[in-house]
Amino acid sequence: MYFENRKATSTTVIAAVVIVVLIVAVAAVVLATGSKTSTTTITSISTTTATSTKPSSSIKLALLVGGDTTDDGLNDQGVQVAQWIGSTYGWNVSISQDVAYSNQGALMTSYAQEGYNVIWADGNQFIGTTEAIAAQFPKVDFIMTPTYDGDNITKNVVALGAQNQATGYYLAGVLSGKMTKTNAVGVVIGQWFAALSYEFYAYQAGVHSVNPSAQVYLTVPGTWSDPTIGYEDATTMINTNHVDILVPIADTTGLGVISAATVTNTTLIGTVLDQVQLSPTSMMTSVLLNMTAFIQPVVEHIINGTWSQIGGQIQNLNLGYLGPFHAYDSVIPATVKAQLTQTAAGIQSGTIKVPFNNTQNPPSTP
Amino acid sequence: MVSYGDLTISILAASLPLTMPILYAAIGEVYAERSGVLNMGIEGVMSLSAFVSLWVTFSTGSYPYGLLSGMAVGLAMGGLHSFVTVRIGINQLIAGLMVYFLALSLGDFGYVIVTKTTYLHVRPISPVQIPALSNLPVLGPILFSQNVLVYASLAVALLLGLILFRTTWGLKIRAVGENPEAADSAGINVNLVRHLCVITGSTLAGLAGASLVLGYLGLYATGDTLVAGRGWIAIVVVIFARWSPYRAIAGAWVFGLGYSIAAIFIGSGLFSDLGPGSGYFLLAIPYIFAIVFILLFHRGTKSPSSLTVPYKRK
Repeated sequence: MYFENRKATSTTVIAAVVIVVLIVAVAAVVLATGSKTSTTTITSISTTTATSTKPSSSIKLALLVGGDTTDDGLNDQGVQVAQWIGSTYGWNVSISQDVAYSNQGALMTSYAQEGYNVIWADGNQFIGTTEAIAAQFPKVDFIMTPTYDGDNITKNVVALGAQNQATGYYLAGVLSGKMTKTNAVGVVIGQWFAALSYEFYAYQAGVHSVNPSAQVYLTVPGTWSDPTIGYEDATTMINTNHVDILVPIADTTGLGVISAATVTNTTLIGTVLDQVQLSPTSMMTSVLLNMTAFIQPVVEHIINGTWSQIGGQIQNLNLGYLGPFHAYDSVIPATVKAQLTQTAAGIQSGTIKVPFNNTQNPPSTP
Repeated sequence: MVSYGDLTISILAASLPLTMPILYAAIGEVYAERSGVLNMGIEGVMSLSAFVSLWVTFSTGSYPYGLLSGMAVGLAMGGLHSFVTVRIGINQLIAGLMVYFLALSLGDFGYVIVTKTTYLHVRPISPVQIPALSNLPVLGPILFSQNVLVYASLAVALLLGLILFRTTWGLKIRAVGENPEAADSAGINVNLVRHLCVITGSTLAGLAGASLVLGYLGLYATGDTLVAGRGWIAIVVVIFARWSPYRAIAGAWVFGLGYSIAAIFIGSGLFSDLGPGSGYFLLAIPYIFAIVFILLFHRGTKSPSSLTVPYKRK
């Protein structure tokens, strides 16, 4: 009996130790990786490279993104810009990655209650929550990138208009229309939002502006987070519709599209950041988003105490442009490059009008 | 215009690589559960092994090294799970979930660290065009133009089915899962059998993760978006297959077919006229299939009698 009890006690102790070790290990890893709404706080980064006219280390900025930096896209860019604000202006920056829908409200409320002056919600999925929380905390400034047209935002919110990348996609369309050999190109959008539809319609218009007979296929898998579905979706577009240029706007699902395109030597156009490293051989270019051009003036209004000049505004800026051509630099004819330059100049001068269309539902495929 | 004949061939051809990772994980779980141990951690093990095998292959250029490293990850995590469940006797459900979270977080952690300097990607293992047969109409592209890991998954399922039902080893495993006291009386080392089965099962889960990356996608994604529930589905397949590696082939294929139909219908634009909700509906197809099949074949389903019950010698 004594030995049985002793054995039982010893087993219980071992079990308890193993459980504690596992819990600590999991907690440490989760905290270290930033997984599942992890938060990284950058406190008063050295300002040796600061260019700010009015450094203001007392301002606290919280950034919320729906994914993490491994997307090489919108989430990664948001984190980079927030870190740049920290290092340039001396702000205290806290970054929350992998923010789930269910955690958005609690996290924003927590930041507001903890004295954060500015909360930046980066991604379409934050629109509704940001509006609701901003109404509860009128003394906190909120930045939304983006929101939809006609959104009735409060005075403590400034938002980037949804068509911000449309000009970049128009240029990508011009390039695609000129470069396609099969006369068929494809776009994969993770989920269809009216705010995202500007990008598709601008791309489609760009293709047809130089190649009216080209087919522009669109698929909407309904998920941002399943690369397997993206892989098969893209493979089917390539095999069935014979598309030879693919534009994934689909986060992790888009990684599957990129993988399928790489295997089949299909040309790709990336989004938000230069995504050449995702497929050095197939990535023709990327539609880049100059987020700093929107954020920097907002930051300086906050520092200068002139928020009232921008509060309540939806700023419809054209921040999209084409990135470098990398391996395709020698493949794209000089005449096409010249046409892209002329188109960009025409958009800038207003002689070329990029259509800013949006619809609640995706259009039918050709 | 989409040709329905070509579309059907595409769906059937794509269903096999989509079946592959589910099948590897399911037959491994059959072994674990047949011995009386539930391993809920296989989703996380698949994810961690996917990262490690991708990293190793990317670094060395060797697919065999990548596959072996993925299996080694599975083996190590299986060792952890069997230690806490068989040796210590912790609740198997809780231990499995701990393994899931630990492995998933370790994989994402490693990936974030490694991708600070480079993006990990490899070209997936190419399909093998079996001479003469791959040129057959219809059957050629479906059955005879797959990569070696797809064929291996079927071979492993058949081999492990033979071992389980036709050998003394298999008899011992089944005895341990059904009546450990009787097995013990017959001189079988119950806990040793369980350790080996859990470790074997987890090693196959490691192979499942490695096959998903090296035999299919060539990349990793964080937040459990790479495996995306296929480890959990493997556990469902085990029940669906009534703890038989043979039936697991059919069970895993049902899900692979469902995924294939969903993805290829999305890619072909069929149903897109239904609006933005069509994608959501199509993504539900594998689960609709599962419900239908479970309703059709649920009779006679009986789990091993000592499943989830730790064994202590009296």
